[in-house]
Amino acid sequence: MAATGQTRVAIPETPLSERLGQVFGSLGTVLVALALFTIFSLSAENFLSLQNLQNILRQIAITAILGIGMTIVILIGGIDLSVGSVVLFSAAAMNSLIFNEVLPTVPAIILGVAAAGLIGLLNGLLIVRVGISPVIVTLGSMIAVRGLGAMILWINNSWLWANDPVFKYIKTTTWSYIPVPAVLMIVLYIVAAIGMKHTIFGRHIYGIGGNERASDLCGIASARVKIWAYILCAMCAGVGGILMGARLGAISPGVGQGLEFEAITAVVLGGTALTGGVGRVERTLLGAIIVGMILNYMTIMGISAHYQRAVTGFIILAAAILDQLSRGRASR
Amino acid sequence: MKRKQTFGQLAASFFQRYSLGILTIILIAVFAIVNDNFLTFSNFQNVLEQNAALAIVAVGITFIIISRMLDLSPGSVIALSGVVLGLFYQASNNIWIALAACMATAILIGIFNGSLIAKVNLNPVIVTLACYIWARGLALALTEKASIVIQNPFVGFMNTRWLGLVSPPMLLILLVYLVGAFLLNRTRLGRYTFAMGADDVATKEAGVRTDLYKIGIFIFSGILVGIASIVTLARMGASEPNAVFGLELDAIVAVIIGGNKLSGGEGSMKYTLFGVLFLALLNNGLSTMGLRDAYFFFYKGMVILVVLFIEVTTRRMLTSATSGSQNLPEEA
Repeated sequence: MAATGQTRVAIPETPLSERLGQVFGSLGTVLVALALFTIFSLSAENFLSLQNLQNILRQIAITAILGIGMTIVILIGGIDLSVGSVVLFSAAAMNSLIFNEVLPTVPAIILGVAAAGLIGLLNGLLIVRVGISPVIVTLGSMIAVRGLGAMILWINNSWLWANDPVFKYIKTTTWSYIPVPAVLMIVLYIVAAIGMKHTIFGRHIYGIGGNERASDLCGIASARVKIWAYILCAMCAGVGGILMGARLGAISPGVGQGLEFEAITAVVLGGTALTGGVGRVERTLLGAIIVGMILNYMTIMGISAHYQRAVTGFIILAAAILDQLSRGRASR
Repeated sequence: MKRKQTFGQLAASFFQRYSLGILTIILIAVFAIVNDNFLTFSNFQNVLEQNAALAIVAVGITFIIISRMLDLSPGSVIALSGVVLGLFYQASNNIWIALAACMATAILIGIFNGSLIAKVNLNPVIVTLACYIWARGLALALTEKASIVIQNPFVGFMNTRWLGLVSPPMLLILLVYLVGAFLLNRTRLGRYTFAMGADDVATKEAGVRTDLYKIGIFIFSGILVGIASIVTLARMGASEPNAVFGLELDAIVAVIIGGNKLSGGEGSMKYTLFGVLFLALLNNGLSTMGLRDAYFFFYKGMVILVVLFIEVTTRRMLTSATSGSQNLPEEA
């Protein structure tokens, strides 16, 4: 803590140990992922097969894509609990348009993602312009949007096929061994990583998360940037809706429940601070991969889905504790 | 300096103070028109009994929110401690041992979460989010998703209505609110709860063992969660691993709608009581209308968002009317 009366500004020197700590901190997640991969490969014989690795990629694609938007929202110091419901809503909306032959497939899909973005806009307006806390707003929209999605399904006899050729293509095709959902995931991550690092929008996100008032005083229209963050987050969930429809082949009212928590888990495992301003989008992918590997390994070992859920909870705790410990060491 | 209030200021302060009251009356009027049985004494008894767990949990959540923390775990912990009760009853056939095990589970989880937050300095959202996931997972895993029927006079006792008027859950609600109000207004725990919510660091620097008081708050909340678990179990006559899904969200929303600030430092047991009453009437009114799930969730979510919108805008109108200067948007 610097005394307020001081006129000279001291340039902080980073001691070697601290810099090493930072490097180790950023490599820590990678090392954990590699260690788990090695252990799982050695202890379960089917883990390293091509088919299983493709399975893991298919399983994590949705969570990881939701994680992109969630990372952005968490970076500005917010949170979005409605993404699971938005997945249901967009999947139901686009498949309803296709099923009833209102629109051809591709425009219907685009409209579904855009509709998701509209929900993000509503969230953002309520949070930023009206000033209600993000937890509460997105809790409310989590309930309301799930209702909205279920209403669309109910109009269509309470569930919908998602068997359009496009969805079948997404489900079954691989591009040089990589399943299509994973290709989409990788492309989106490359775009997001470059965007966060090299665009003005990305820099503004970090600025607002670091110190919103300072960003405001620098002339950043932080309100608009924050609203866009919520729109992007919901649109990621819209894309998740496409993949969810493709994966399941049918949409029922329970689809997407709990996905918001999986996405937050991936973000936290990736080391993004919930207080905002600190974190990297591409690390969220690593978080999603870690969770995906652990869940897949437990499935191979025949552990029931309920115990898997319990373990997921403890993984989050372990990640948070490790993160806190490394942060504490760096600040000392 | 006391200035004469303009009409606008008077209106704003009137609406701010009574907005929830007015909205509650509107809600009751709407349901009374739609449903003949809504405004009957027996339905009011139903409202209280159906929402007893919510009302009891909300008291603990009030302490947690005033001290600027958050708890997403009560619903899952209610399920898990209910399952523990069921398993102990199956093994011992003694209801008192089972009840004690149930309370112990809830309190221990409270201590666990509280310690991680207060001692390890983890973010409350992460800790309780993890607990939300692992506790529900364990509850489902321990019973393989099956419910355990409890056949014991205790269940009958909890469902009696003395003189056709009062049942034990109602008395428990009354008791819990009296104890909650006493702790909040008349004890050191209550005073420090407000202090920690207003400024955690300053409170600590003033020599208060904030870590112990935070754990204390979680222990109190754990006791209430245990009671709520027993009430829930007695109402269903069985321990049910899927019970009270989403209760924590209802409790948080009730506390906030009542007028406690999510940003901490301000609040009262009275606010919580009114918030719970509103949400309980909303739940009951919507469920007696025989709506499909889809419409139920849509209406509920929309009503919550509208109420918050009205409350926040009137509060902001009031602050801008009284101070005349531009204020930063206040958090709900």
